[in-house]
Amino acid sequence: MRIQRRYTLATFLIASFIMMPAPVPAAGSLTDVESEIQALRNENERNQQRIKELEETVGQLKARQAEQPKAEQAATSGLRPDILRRALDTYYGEHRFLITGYGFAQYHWDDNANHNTFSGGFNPIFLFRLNDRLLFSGELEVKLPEDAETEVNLEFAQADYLVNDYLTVTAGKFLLPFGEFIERLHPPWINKLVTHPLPFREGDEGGIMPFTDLGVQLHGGAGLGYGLGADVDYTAYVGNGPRFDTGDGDGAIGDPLTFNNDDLNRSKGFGARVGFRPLPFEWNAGRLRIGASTYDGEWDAKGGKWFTAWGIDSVYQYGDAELRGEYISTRRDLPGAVRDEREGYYIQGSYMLSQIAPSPWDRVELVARYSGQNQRQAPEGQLPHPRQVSLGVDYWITPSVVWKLEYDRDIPRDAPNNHEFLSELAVGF
Amino acid sequence: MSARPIRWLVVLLGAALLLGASAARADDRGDDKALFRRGAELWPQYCGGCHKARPGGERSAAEWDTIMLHMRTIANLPADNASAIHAFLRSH
Ligand code: HEC
Repeated sequence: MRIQRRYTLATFLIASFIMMPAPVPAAGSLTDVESEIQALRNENERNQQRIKELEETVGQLKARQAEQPKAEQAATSGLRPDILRRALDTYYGEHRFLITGYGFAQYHWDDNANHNTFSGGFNPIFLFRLNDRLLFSGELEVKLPEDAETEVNLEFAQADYLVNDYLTVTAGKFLLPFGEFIERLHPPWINKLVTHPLPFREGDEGGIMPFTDLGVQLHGGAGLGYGLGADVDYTAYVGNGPRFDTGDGDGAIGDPLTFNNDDLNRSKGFGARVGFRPLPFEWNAGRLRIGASTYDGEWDAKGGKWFTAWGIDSVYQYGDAELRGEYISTRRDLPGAVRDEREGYYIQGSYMLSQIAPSPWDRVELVARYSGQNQRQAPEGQLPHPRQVSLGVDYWITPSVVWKLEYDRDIPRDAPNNHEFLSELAVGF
Repeated sequence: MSARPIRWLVVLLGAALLLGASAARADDRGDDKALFRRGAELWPQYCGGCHKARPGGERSAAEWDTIMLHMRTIANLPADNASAIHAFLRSH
């Protein structure tokens, strides 16, 4: 009986122990737990928010990274050489700068003068276009004098301003717009022979006209109104005028021309040229140009002694054939009653074989020229009545690169005949 | 005697300025087809007058802008014909 009771007590104790509820916290610590949970919730919310923000940032970064190549491409495409060049070209206005000009290599054999030599030259031309109306151009002549180091001359330096369709104003040092040879034909890639026609040799070589003047030109051109290609063109100019090297004297027959860079007297020189192209293209009658020029001025330091010159020039082109010629007459007052009178002329014919010969002979052009000059007395080393027959064969590698062969027969009135042989490679660029 | 040239110069420059004040038309760079065709026709006629005609492919359009200004002043070309040749050369 006692044992049973003991068992009952033990069971009770165990059961009560098992069933004993967990220790219940006091009422105050319950609110603590609640606030802690709230704090955790808040923190969780903040973390969620931060994650969202970070995700957004990463997204943006990724998108930006994806954009990068496109932007880079766009940026570099702006640097393509042609676009860059165009950008530089138009930087600060609309100017364009261009270097052009010509170079040549020459060989000259002269029987009488006992002359057998190579020579060469290089003439860069600088063109600077400020806008559609204003051009600056300058040419340097880099040449080898007979027995000295390289020499550099300023051939021309001029500004041209297109005032309107019919008028251009040019100022500076310019090639003399007298006839066609000086202004338009003398560069060696244009001149079909190696030599110049006798009256158009440069001043110190015996020619009878100055090649340049310093001053102002008004010039332009217009249609004549009866067909495309029938035009008139004009030039009028004021310059320092002509100057002669008189040595120690007051001037004598045969004084050579020299430069008048700083005008030796107070009076100016005047010149003009009018040119016509009378044949409209639709007539299919070939192309004809006719021009008349004059150049006049007081040449002496005291003033009062005049130099006057006039000339005519013409060229006719039909297909591959060309015939051209010029005539010049000059007169110079001298102290006393005498006058220094000079005249010169040339006529030149050429024919390009392009239509009648097979390649490569179609690039050959045959040229013949006769030129002469007369004066009472010539500068030292020159003859007063030279005459020259020149025959040439040109090979045109491109329209501005030509190889020339020339044979000259000098038949002066006042000296024995002479032969010359020349060859030249001329490159216009 | 020496006053005469100065008077000349003044008269010439005065005339130039007067003419300049009249409506001045610059070389318009049209890409217009008719202008191009006219230029193609005129190019061998005018541009072979002094030297062998230089073809359009030799130079860029911007270079032709400069060279045509140069040639127009050397050759005293009528303005409208110069514009047509310019349009032809620059479109090469
Ligand atoms: C009245 C004669 C003449 C006519 C017409 C002429 N040129 Fe020229 N051209 C020249 C001369 C002279 C030079 C050489 C410039 C120099 O040495 O100063 C030249 C040079 C050039 C050059 C070399 C670059 C330069 O500007 O010097 C090119 C290119 C040229 N000409 C293209 C043309 C084109 C295109 C035409 C037709 C619109 C033309 N020429 C019509 C006389 C002419």
